[in-house]
Amino acid sequence: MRGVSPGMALILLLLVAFIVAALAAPWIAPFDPLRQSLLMRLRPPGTTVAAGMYLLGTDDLGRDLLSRVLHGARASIAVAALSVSISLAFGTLLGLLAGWFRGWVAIAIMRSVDTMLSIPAILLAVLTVAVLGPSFLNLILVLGLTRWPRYTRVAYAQTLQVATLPYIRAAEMAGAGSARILWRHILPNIAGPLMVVATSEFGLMILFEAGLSFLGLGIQPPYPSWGSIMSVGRQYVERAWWLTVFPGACLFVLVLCVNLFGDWLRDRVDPRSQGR
Amino acid sequence: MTAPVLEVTDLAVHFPGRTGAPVRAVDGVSFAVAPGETLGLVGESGCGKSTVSNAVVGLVPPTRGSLRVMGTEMAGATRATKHEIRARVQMVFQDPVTSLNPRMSVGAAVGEPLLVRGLASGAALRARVDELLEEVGLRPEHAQRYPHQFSGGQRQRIVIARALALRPDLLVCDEPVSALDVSVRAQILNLLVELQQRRGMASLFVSHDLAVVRHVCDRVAVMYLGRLVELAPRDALFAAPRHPYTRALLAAVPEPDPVAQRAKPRVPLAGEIPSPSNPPPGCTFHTRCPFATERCRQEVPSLRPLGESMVACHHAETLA
Repeated sequence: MRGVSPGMALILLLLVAFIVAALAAPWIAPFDPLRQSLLMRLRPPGTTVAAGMYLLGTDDLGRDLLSRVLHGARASIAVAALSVSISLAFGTLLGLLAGWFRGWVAIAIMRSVDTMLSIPAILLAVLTVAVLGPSFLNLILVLGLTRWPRYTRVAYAQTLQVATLPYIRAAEMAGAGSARILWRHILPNIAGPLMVVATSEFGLMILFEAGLSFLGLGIQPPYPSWGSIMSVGRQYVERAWWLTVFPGACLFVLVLCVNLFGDWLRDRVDPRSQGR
Repeated sequence: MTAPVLEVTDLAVHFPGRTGAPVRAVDGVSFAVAPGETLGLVGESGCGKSTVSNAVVGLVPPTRGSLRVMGTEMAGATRATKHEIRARVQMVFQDPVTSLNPRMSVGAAVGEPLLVRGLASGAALRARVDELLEEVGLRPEHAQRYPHQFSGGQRQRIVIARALALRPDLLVCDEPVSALDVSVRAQILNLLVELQQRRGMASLFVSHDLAVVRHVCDRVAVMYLGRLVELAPRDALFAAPRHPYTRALLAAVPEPDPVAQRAKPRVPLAGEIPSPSNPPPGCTFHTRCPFATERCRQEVPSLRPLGESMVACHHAETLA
């Protein structure tokens, strides 16, 4: 990794820490995130009991906040990663097809992109979850299948550009079919900008998940998610500030890191730095 | 005479114009390339020479006329037939930077034609790729590397190796050295000539550089505004150009010897090349020709034999 500045190194370190914390949550969490203890309701950070210390305090049902935040990171990152994967794959495929075949294929695909982009995404997500019922799987599907148009636009524009290059002509003359040209010749050369879009969408998906969970349409209680912890914490904000502050800070830092990482990635895949 | 590798008859390629009138990039061109022969196609920018080469390799559909490769008609052929003919004609592009996929190893690029046509795979494919790389003066270990690790001249060698993979009968070279440093041009040209002789391959060599054309071509076709104005054996063309446009082109080539340069007849051309979407009537060159008469303004000259040459000029005899 050449040319990583100290600031960027810190961001990468934080991102890795979040991912490790999410993956290792069952092992590193000091308490069971679902175990209630009504005698220990809304205890401030640092309260010590026989079983250990509530480092970040407890919630309205006496559950350990640190454990819930760690498990909540799992939900946030899993929802974001899976929904970004779905929309990246689907959107890129449509963009490649539109850019390669052009004509009525492009008209059909790009008009549906315009249509999708004209619908407020969060409203569509709320509506769909409300109809299908809230669940982890539905949440991922809704986010995955409403967020593909941005990838399609980028993939379409990039494909149009790459398709005119002589090496694509050469592949045609070699006898390669459309599928091979798209997979081997075009996709690897448009992957950079798509990854940049995927990173910025990843940050957005974490916010969407938190937003939907806050509205009660995402991860369902008693399972923790940053959004649902904050939603409950809102009612106790004068008495128990830690319920909203800690998950909110995590959300803020993670999304900020992801977005800064995206900017850094964009600078690195800039066409001017290619072809050394 | 043996059957030609490529026979082009009355080829026309028109593109839809922005303002309605079609752009007549190529408008009635006929020529043939014999086995093992190199035909040069010269002309200034925008005369349609690259469009001719794109039509020959099947990247641009002809609007009119016939294109026969090894006796098989390409115009209006089925997909399967086109797929077969395309293996007989391969192309070397102008810019070696954009003619190689930056994300594909050299070995994968050179072997792709063999792989996708099911002619070789696995160890046999690697062996063929190694042979091809050696044939163009590279080393087998270069197959693992990526295009950005090579210089312009080396990249053009890789492009040539890829074009040779299917053992084509005709190699279309579209300005193969004009993007290269002068110092490596000769190497690439000599490589092309040598490969052609060894393989008995014919070549259509498109260039605007007359010195290069003189070095590699057996016959030369001169294009102006989508039409052929002269088609002659190399020595005849350079010694005794018949068409006024050919004369102007040759007169514009600078001589290395200042004495020879000063002694050279000057044939200045007035004006700009007319728009191919609105070509002048009659001889398309009459707007810039110092010898143009009323007949030139009305009657389109056909390409007719004169000595060793073919020339499309009403006054070729009187000018000689």
